[in-house]
Parts: sequence; C-alpha cells; structure tokens
Amino acid sequence: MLTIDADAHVIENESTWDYMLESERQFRPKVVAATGGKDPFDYWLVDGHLIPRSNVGRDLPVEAREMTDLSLRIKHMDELGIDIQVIYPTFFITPLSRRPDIDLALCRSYNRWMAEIVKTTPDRFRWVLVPPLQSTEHISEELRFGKENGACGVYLRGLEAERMLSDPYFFSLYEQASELDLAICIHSANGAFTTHDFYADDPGFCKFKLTVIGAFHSLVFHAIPQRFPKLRIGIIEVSSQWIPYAVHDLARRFARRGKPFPKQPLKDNRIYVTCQTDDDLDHVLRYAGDDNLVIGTDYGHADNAAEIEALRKLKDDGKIGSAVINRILSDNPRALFGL
Amino acid sequence: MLTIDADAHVIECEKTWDYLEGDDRKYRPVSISVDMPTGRTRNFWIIGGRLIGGRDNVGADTSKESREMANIDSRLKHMDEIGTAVQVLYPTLFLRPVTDNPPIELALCRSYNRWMADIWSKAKDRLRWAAQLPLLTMEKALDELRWSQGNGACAVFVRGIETHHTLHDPYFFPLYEEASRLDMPIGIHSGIGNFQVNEALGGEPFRVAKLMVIGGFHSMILNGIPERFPKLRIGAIEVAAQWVPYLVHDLNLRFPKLAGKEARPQVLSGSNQLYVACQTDDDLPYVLKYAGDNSLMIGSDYGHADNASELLALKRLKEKGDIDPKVIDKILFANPARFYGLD
Repeated sequence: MLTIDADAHVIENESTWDYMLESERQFRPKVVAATGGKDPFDYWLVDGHLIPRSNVGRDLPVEAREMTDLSLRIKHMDELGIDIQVIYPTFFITPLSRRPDIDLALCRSYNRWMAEIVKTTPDRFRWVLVPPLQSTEHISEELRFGKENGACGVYLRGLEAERMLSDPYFFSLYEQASELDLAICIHSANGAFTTHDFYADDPGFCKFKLTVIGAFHSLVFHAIPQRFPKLRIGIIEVSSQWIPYAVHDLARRFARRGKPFPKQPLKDNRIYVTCQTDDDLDHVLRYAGDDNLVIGTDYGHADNAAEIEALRKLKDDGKIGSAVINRILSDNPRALFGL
Repeated sequence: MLTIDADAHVIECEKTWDYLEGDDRKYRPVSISVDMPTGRTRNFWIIGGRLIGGRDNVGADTSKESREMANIDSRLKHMDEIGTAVQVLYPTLFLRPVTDNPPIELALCRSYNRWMADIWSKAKDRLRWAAQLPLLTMEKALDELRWSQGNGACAVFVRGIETHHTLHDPYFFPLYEEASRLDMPIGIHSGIGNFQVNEALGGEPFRVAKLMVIGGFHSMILNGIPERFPKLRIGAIEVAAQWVPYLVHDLNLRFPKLAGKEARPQVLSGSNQLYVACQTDDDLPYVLKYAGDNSLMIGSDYGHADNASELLALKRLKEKGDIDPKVIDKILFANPARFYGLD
C-alpha cells in the first residue's frame, strides 16, 4: 500500500526565480532582512510587498525543506513511512501582486523550478502547479506544462483574483483541469488583497482557514462539481473538523430551496478534505464518508497544521478502523490526485 | 418554566425612522421597490445614496403587525402560542453594512434605539432588545449604550466585522469596558458591518454572515478579550453551534504557540463569559461535549425567513429526546437569562 502525504511543502529560495524570462528578471523576488528589530526571519520583497519567510520548520534540514537535496528528504520520508509527497508552495499563501505580468512571471518560474526538482523522482514526489490566474490566456500553457512534468493538481487559494472560486471567471480553468485530469487543490491561503489585508494581524484562522471553508461551501452551493462532472477538488490544510457544520448549513439551504441534498455530499461532489489527527474522526466520518478524507504532514512548515508524524500517528492511534485508515492514507489520495 | 428566545427580530418600517429629530430627518431612509431582471420584485431602503437590502427577509409565518411591532399585543399573543415568555429583539436592516458615514449612522442608530425603547415600554418583562450602536464614532456609541441600557436594552448588537476593525481590535476596548460596567453582553449576530469585505465576498450569506461571526468570536478568544474584560459576556448569535468543536480544536492548537498560554479544552465549557445560540438540527450531544451545559442558548429568528429561521425552535428543543431535560431547561432559560442579565 502506498502511503501518500497529501499536503507537504517546499520552501522557495533564490533559485526558484532562476526560470524567469530575461524580460521578467525585473520582477524577481528578493530576500531582504530587517537591519533593526528582532524578527527571527527574513522577507521576500515582491512588487513592493513584504512576505515574511516565517513559516519554516526549522527542525528540518534546510536541504530537505528547500528540496536541494532530495536524498535527504527521501530518507526522512522513509523514516516517517511516507511513500509519496504531494508538494505545495509556501510563497503563494498570500496575494502577491495585482499586476498580471508579475503574477505570470512568478507562476511560470515556480512551475519550472518544481518540474526540475522532481523530474528525477516522480515515484516519490508529485506537485501542485500554480496557475497565472490574472493572465487567463496563459493558464492553458501552464496546466499542460505541469501535467507533462509531474504535476497532479492545480493550486488555488480560498479566494483568487479578488473573486470567489464559484465565479464563472474560473470555469475555463475547471474545464481544462478536468480534461487534463488535474485536481483543483484549494489550500489554506488567500489570494485576495481586500480580505487578506483586512485580517492583517490574524494568524490564519480568518484569513486562510475560513476563506477555504467558504470556498467549499460556495462550490457546493453553486453546484460547480455538477457543472464539471470530471473535476476533483481537494480542500487542503484546514482540518476536517468543520465538515459537519458546513454540511448542516448546506443541507438547510438546499431544503429551503426545495433542492435535494446528497446523503454523501463529499463523495457526490468529488471533494476530498485533509484531516488532522486531532479531528474527532469518528464523528467527522459520519459526514465525510470513508472515501473522501486524506491527510498531510504540512512537511516543511511550522504552523498550526504542521504535524510531521501525522500519517504514522493516524495509523497508530486506533481511533478508527484500519480499513478507513488505509483509505485515508492511500486509496483516497490516489483517487484525488489521480495516482 | 419561562423560556427565552435568545434571537428574535423586528422588521424595520417607516415608524422606525419617526424618531429622527431635527436635522437628522434629512437622513431618513426611503423605501423603494425594484422590479429585478429576474422577474422578482425586491424591496430596499435608500440610505446615504446606497441601495440597502434586508426588507425581503420576512417570515410568512408571522404577521406584518407582529414583525414590525405595530401591534404589540399581536406579537405577545403569538409568543404565547409558540411557548415563548421573553424575546430578545435584534434588528434586520443592520445585519448588513448600512452606511460608512458617521452622522448618518448616528442618526439611524438613535432612531432605531428609540423605536425599540418605545416597544419595550409596552411590554417590559417580555420584550427586551439589543442596542444598535454608531460604532464609527465611539464616543457617541458609548452615549447610545448608556441611554439604551436605561431603556430596556439588554445587549449590544455587533456583527462579525464592524467598521474597519476586527472585533479584538483595541478600537473596541472602550465599548467592552463600558459594556462590562453596564452589565451588557456583546451579541455578535450573524451579519457584517464592512462594505468592502462584504462586496469582496459577493455578499454570500454563509461567508459574510456566518463565517464572519465565527471568525470574530475566535479572534476575541484568541486575543484574550474575555480575560482582559472579565465581566464581559460574549455571545455568537444565529450561526448555529455545530462549529463549536472546530473552534475549540483550532484554538487549542494555537494557544500553546502563544507566550503565556496553554491549551484549554474547556475554553467554552469552563467559561462563564462565552455563549452560543444553537439550532435544533445541531448535533447537540456532540456539541455539548465542547460547549458544556452552561453556554448554549436558542433562538427562533422570529420575523425572518432565512437559513436560521425556525419559529418553533424552542418547542422542538423541548421535545428533543437526545439530551438531558435539565440541559434543555438551561438552554431555554438559565443560560440566556444569565447571558442577557435577565436573572
């Protein structure tokens, strides 16, 4: 049985941007550090915005978290009992620029950097590509590039391009992702300046987690999965403990509109959610079903969701039956990511 | 046993604005009906040049004279029929952003509060209300708070986001200080008070009304507002209670990472400051493991026809067989009585 870490990360470094075109080099992010004060971390400077480089699991060797030495990372994965990691970015957790040309340059370079990193180890690493959502004419090229180079999903944040993910703006993306068999992976993150900046001092619950839960609700409420019947959707790094609440709310709204609500809403909508080991899984599974939870370690990070032993702990905890555990660790992520 | 409906509503009407005085009369909202391209007719208020909705969230299971408090006896009679002794009244118009103009906000709040006080004066022991404060001008907000408390208000109505601040922002500390002194709880009601965020989220009810409140409640707890104001009571109103386990889980992952804090699994159940209005379809046996017996209340959303509306919620809760009758009694009376200071 292949054990799949459905949410692991890479920490970008200066070489991430080596793939920018000559004309794009002016947009290259720069690492900067405060000359005074006590910040233990530095920043990316991109388009006049400072992005803290604070969410870093410093207990991991830098070569492992930045994927400059894959053998080190793989050795650690073997120790943790992980066969495959699906890699997400770190840099793209917040909105970065309102300029389409900068957004395109960043996405393209990141995608090529990731493709280069994992090309020698497709059996251990897959990745989620970042689409240039402000330049819709370039999305197709990036999706195809990603698919041809080991990507198994498309990275989205809870809000993108100042829009909700149920907006028709994204329909072409969903159509193309469906055709290329790429999952849409909505990660704990926010791509909209308005709400992100409003919650400037929020540690992530409001600006990231609730944003993604809202996205789940919007997509189901507006029947986006029905519109794209081959589309698979991942809800990543927001735990699964909220599922009963969202399902209750949706059920009420559907009932008020005289619309039937599925008995297995996640299954019927092809939505998969990463759980955490502290979730009340016996309760959550009544709503999520056995076939739609996955789990990740948040490898590389040091935030609320980070639990490097998550997969092993799930196996060992004994809180739920072994058949369901195996589905969470293997069958379900294989279904989500098309592995 | 007395029962308290912790979340009932009034529907604002022309009379609401009859309490505008002097120059403030120029800010009087104007009602308008618009035939929409969808074929529906929708009703709005024009306020400060903006079209503001909320006039269509009207429960057909209640009479107009009851909803708009044109006939208090009619309302009380209906409350008797549905087995409710006391209702705590919240607004309808103000569940959404109404204005970002301080003088307009002040004028409308004053008129609304005086309308509510007038209503209360006719049924003091059965109809209490949550004060709508002009939070864009804190000094005026505190004046209104004091006036309202002396005229039947038993809570402060706030939304998940108010003005341009999150609810844990020090901007609101004077409010929390004064509310504590006056023994007035903060009722964070399903709703949003910020135009930009509301528009950024497309006004989608689940996001702007429900998630905003949960986020506000979370941020107040995480940032130590209950500890800073130990007499302040804070309630999450009309967002159900099914999210409480999620909130407790998330807080307990965050607390240990904060200086001077540790995990508190009993963050709600061990608190006498935090309250949540539940719904009858919540998994109450499960939610109670996190909320404890002393923090849940229930409301009918009387007057409305939205996702939370359940006219017979209090009756149905009584009939629920899956929780201890003593806990049901607490949800129906002791807990809201304590929250709203109606003991």
